[in-house]
Amino acid sequence: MAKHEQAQPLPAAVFHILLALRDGEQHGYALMHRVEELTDGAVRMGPGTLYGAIKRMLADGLIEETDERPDPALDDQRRRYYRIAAAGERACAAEVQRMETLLRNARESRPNLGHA
Amino acid sequence: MSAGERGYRALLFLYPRRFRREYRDPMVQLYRDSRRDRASWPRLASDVVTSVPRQHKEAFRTMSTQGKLLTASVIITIAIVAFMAVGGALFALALMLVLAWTLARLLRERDAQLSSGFWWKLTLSGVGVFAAGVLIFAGPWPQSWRDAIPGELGWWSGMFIFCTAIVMIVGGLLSGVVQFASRRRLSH
Repeated sequence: MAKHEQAQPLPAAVFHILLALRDGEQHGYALMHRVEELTDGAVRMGPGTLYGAIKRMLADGLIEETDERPDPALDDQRRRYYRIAAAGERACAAEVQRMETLLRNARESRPNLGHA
Repeated sequence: MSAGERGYRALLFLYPRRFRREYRDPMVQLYRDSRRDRASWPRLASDVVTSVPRQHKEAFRTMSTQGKLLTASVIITIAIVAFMAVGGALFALALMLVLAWTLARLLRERDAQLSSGFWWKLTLSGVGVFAAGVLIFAGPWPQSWRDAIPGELGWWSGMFIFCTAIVMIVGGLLSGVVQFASRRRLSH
């Protein structure tokens, strides 16, 4: 079992990358942009943060590096592509579930939450 | 290669070697792509400032017990020498205690075991190296012998001997603290 398949929250960077990779295989730059889109521009990862998280996620088996190129003719060979692994899909789904539960419970106790 | 890229490549030397070896090329590639988007230097700098300590912490976490002890001892020695040079001996001592406590906690978390007697052998060896250094540099040697050694060589070899001695003594004492803490834990 991967380390993140536990009931504890995923680190924000890990969750953002997993969400971004659910759209398909991506390289670092595309991932950075997708995370920015997903968070409405609130999160823009730098190279150190992005590859630090990727290193951890590869070690935890949440993502995999892939040799396949969507379009080898147009692509730079130095770019590395990543895809979400089965454990990553499960961890992402569990995190979404955890957030939904948290939000539902918070709204039940405070119905006006988020509508200030 | 632009001056900015050269600067960014230089900043990458702040990361642990293993991480750098593995991710330098894609990071530089990402830097180039980001610069095309006019990513600002303050943003890149803040990324380096936040991710470098995280990667060093990660590298330290995955080190062997001996590697951790050696790294901690070298860091403590550098801190002691640096702070003593500016008169901050008490601060250096406080730093040493914090590092010793952190190291002991990390080792305890990983259930690390050290061979018994390791700590006092290392400490005694350090004391021996220190005594040898004192004997070499402050012994009753004839003036002609002293004059035969170039001043710079004498200074650097003295620094090397005394720093090695401090690393060994601090490393030995830290190992003793760790061993004492793990014995106490086992007996409870």
